[in-house]
Amino acid sequence: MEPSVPMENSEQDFTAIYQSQHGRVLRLCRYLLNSVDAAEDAAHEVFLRAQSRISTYDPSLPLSSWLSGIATNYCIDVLRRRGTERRLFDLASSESLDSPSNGPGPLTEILTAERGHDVRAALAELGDKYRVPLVLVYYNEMSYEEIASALGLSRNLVATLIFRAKQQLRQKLQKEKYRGMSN
Amino acid sequence: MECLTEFTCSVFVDGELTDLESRQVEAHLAICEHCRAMTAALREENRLLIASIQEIDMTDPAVVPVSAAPVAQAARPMDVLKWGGVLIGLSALIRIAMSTPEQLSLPSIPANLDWLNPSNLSGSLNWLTSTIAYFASEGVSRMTSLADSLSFVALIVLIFAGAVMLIRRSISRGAMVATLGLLLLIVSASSGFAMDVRNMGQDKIVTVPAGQTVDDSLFATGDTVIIDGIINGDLIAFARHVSINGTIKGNLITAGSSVDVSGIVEGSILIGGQNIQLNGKVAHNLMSIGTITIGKDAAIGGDAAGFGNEIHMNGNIARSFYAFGITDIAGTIGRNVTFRGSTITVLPSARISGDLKSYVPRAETVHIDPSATIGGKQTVELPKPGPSRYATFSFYFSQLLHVAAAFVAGFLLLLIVPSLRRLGFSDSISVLKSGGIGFLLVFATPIAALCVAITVVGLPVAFVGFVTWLLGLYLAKIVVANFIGRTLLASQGDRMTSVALGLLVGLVLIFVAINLPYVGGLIEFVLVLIGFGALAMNVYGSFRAEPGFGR
Repeated sequence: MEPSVPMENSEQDFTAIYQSQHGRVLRLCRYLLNSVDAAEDAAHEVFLRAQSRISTYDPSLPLSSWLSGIATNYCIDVLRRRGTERRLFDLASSESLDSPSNGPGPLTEILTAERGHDVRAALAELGDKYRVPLVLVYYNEMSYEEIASALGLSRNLVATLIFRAKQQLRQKLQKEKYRGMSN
Repeated sequence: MECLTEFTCSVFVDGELTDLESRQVEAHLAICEHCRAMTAALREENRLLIASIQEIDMTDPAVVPVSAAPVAQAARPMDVLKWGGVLIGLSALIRIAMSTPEQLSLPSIPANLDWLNPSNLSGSLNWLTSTIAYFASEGVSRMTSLADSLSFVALIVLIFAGAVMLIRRSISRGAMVATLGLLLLIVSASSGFAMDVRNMGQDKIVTVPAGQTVDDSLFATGDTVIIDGIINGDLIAFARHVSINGTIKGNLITAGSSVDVSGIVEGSILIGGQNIQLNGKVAHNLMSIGTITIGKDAAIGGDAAGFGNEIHMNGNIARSFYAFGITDIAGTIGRNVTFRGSTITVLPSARISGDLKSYVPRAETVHIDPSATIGGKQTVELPKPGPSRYATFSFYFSQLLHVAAAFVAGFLLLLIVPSLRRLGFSDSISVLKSGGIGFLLVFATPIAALCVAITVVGLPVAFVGFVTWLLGLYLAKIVVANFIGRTLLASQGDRMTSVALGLLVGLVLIFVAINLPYVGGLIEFVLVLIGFGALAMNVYGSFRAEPGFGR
């Protein structure tokens, strides 16, 4: 059986892949791991893995989502290894879905496009369990179902985590806004 | 129908409701102004959120957590250190700029600590490769005799590397397995026994009494370790007082503030301490770091090398003796003596069958009693006036060996720690910072290690710190070389060929630069400081990145 990528071209092809995709993979790792250094190591590892598994790549699917998948799995592994293990995505009993939401509503008036910097700062302040699903759904554009299987959680829990993540993000941004106004 | 919850609206906007639920929500939205406004706001929020997150801003420092408490606290002392480093780096530069080469003796260090001063080793900063190059040029026979000791040293280096890698869990699993495998191979090849660990805590004594035999290798720590019996494997002992009167069939690795070896070691000895007494028999080689007295009755079957403030050699060495430090010789040496340091005294009773070669700053510091016996030639090598050494072939050959050794070491380092491949300096401030931190660490580490070594608990720490310091000094130039080579070749890739090429180019350039007449030493000194600082910051950074998250 012929390999999907001819051997003599594979190295060149991979260099091209690296150049076009490295930025995106690095950013994803940075959001997921919340650390510049760790993200650089992770992105490096992701491309090593991708290179060794290039034969498993299905050309009918977008390359970026294949790489994002490898990166997501790797970063989740890293987060788990940081010692938080199963507790990573557990919800405390006090924050069950039924508890009334007393957070602020959608923040369209604060969330103007110029505040990208503040949004990223607030995102970095979220705990892993909220940041990871939020990044996966809005940066990686994965469905709830895909996130649930990547994290080994139920789809309902994923929905709750994303909802809570957005509420926390709003709170942080609103606080930031008032701090900005009082200055 | 009751109004929708915000949660339902949110999931609806994400397009994640089931078909049935979506139809119900749409039906409700058609009649409810409030919920329509809510979903519209949520949709707009999603759009802005996606735009903010997708926006390309790789230099944005805000992605690094700013208010996550543990990280922020950990970062603060580093900032202090960084800016302190900048200040010290600046003042050091000013000092260097304003002084003549003779005045460059840097902060005055008490005379008896002089051997710790790295700038005083005048060119033998990379004594590791000097030693390797030396033996390569001295012939194969010595190489084989030292192969034992080298594999012995490799074992220790691998133990450290393994420990570091276990701590740094981000490392690729493949490299870890490979190293551990290698480690196991060497351990099993060298001893063939399982390791017996005895740790009696701080105020206890580990003893193997006379008549008792330990069938394994033994790792012993405590206040005092006394071995009167027989150890069939290797002995690794760290304690304040180590006393060995029995027999060790394997190798001996030991460190303590006072170490006394009066027994028999059938392998080699690696020993470190403030006060070392050797009165026993060693079948193979001896390497010591610290003040050592080799007693009258001591016999060493192989070569001996001593690095230390004072080295008193009264015993019998069957092969060659290498001494680095203030040395006096009263005993018998079967082959040659090579001395590097300030003062050497050869007493009347000394018998040296081979040559005596001294590398000293001034001829007056070599004292040889006329009644001492020296079979071969007695030569004194003074620091040669600059250009002459450039005319010899052996100079270029040894430099080539240096580059090759540094390349192999550097390539392995970059292979094991990929993050170092990208280590670099964004601007002159970061170079200055690295230089300042390097300056602090290069001079403070050995002194700190010595202070720590005085307390009992600190001994292994001091030993590890000292070895790490030596390793760091050696690797510092390699790190800078990698940066220079990569910058020159503008190579971005992580492929091994481009990593190797960049490293090689950088190393060749650096070795040319540090061998320039007059300024080479200064260049080397500055490069080592910068590289050491950068290395330390990288190590610190990779440890800092691990904790602090995950909550």
